[in-house]
Amino acid sequence: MFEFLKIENVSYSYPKSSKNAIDKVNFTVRKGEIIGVIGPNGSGKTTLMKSILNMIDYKGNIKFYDQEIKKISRRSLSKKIGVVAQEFAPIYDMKVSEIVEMGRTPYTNLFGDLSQEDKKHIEFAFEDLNIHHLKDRTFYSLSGGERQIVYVAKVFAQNPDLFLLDEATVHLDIGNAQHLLLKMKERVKKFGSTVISTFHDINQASAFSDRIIIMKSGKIYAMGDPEMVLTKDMIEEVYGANCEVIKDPRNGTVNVFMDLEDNSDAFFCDVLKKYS
Amino acid sequence: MKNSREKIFWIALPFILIFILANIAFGPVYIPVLEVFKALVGMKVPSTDKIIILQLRLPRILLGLGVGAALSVTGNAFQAMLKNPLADPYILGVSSGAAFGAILANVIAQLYYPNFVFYMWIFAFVFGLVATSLTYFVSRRGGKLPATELILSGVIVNLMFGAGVTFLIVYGWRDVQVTSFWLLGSLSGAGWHDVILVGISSVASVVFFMSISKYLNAMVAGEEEAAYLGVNVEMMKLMIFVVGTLVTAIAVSTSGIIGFVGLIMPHMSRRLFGSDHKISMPASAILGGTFIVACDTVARTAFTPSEMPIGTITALIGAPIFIYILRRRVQNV
Repeated sequence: MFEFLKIENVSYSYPKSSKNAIDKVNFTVRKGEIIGVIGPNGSGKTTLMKSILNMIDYKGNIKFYDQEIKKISRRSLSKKIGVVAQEFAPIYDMKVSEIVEMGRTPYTNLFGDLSQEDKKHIEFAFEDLNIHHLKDRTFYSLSGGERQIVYVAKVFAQNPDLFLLDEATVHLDIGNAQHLLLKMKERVKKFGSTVISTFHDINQASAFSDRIIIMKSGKIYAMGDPEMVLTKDMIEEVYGANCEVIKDPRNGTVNVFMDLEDNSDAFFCDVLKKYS
Repeated sequence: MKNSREKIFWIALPFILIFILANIAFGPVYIPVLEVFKALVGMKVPSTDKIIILQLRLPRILLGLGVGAALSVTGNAFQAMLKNPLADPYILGVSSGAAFGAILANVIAQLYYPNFVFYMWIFAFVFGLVATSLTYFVSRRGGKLPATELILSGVIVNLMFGAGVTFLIVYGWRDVQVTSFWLLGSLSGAGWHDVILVGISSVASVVFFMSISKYLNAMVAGEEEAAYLGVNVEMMKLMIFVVGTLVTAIAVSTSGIIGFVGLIMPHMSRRLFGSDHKISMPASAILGGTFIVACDTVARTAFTPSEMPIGTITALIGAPIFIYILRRRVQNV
């Protein structure tokens, strides 16, 4: 069996910086897996993403479908990996349909003519995300949540095997974030896609991911099932935050609660006793 | 799949071309429009009219069309590449750099080696590149090009090369009059050899920029987004810089510095026909050409017997539009 994505001893330090932004990172990703990457600001989450995209000159090996990422052309890579970043901000206002069509850029000929295949994927993207009604609207007339969904539609149209979400929900309210993450899960189920997503919100990461990678100072601090790695001690060691970790009684998802009271420990113990 | 905006453009095109040719009628001597079209299709007209139409006004109008088209498509491409709707060959200083180069070649030819005049547009190209690179590196802040920094660096580079132009002219010719031709532009004295050079380079640049339209579309959302869509961004930037500077240099060495066309015409074409570069490139070429031809008609008829430099007219129209775009941008942020 081939390895879908294998990251071996990957390091990178930014110019003018003596410290490694990521330092000897190792992990493998199976096809169809959802990986959540968390860690404090500056822990190397985005640098890791940029390495996988071959946007920076990393040291070490990243193998995608058994092929070194650096040897894959930008165009071929863009057919396999799609990125949803924090926001999509074109300088000109465009129609939503034009933005979704943009996702087909790696596939079309020099003049950008759309083939039947291109049109099919664009249609799927509109269909899967339920945004037919936005088709003729202009991008900047939409709400923040709608814009991010249109951005996702563009990446769906790109039809990658691997989705990299770089804090894609960070500017969204809970309703829009839920909508986006549910649509990603649907995509994974339907197409067997793989997702690597960075998060600031630990609870979103916990609910969304099959496996969590916790990063600290450029190194992988812990990796595994959300219930295994998201512990009170771990959060304190990595983030320096005093938290309480509670399992959702319905499905076992772990949730992290921030402490702002001195006696909160006692409070949560009471709650736990009551519900568990 | 053609959308409605694209259709409007193709329907409007023949009317625009007729308008452009109709400008031949105007000048110090008015020639009826019907006469003009007769002469153009080769029918018999009085011989003085024929000379005025075919030897004086037609090349001038075609030159204006070419220069306007070249400056507009270059502006349009720079705007997408730099992710800044205020970029244009004039604002970035390419035009004044190119003018400096062209005059330097002229002065060397005049004073030392007469053959140097043939290297005029090569000099223009080289100094155009120097000017753009200067603006680019002065305004760069951590991999980004903020609008204010870009405009300020452009102003400085413009002032610097503008001073260089005046210095060279006074040094070379001892004649300040010539400065206005270079610094404010003029299509007077256009000959068929200018038309051929500018025509070839303009058509080639329009075709080139149309052929990279899908990459330009992707770059509108930023360099990283473009890279995610498979665009080789550094290669693309280099090609746009070189091609844009080359056509600007050729345009400037035949007609001096004509400002603001590359800024306002792409803006207008996006307003009318949408922001897809596949349409906005040919549209801004045609609109830019038409705009220059119309401004030139005003320049050579409204103040007879003297001529107003065309750059004065484009600036009078362009500056308020520049302010409008700048204000609108600030409000959007």
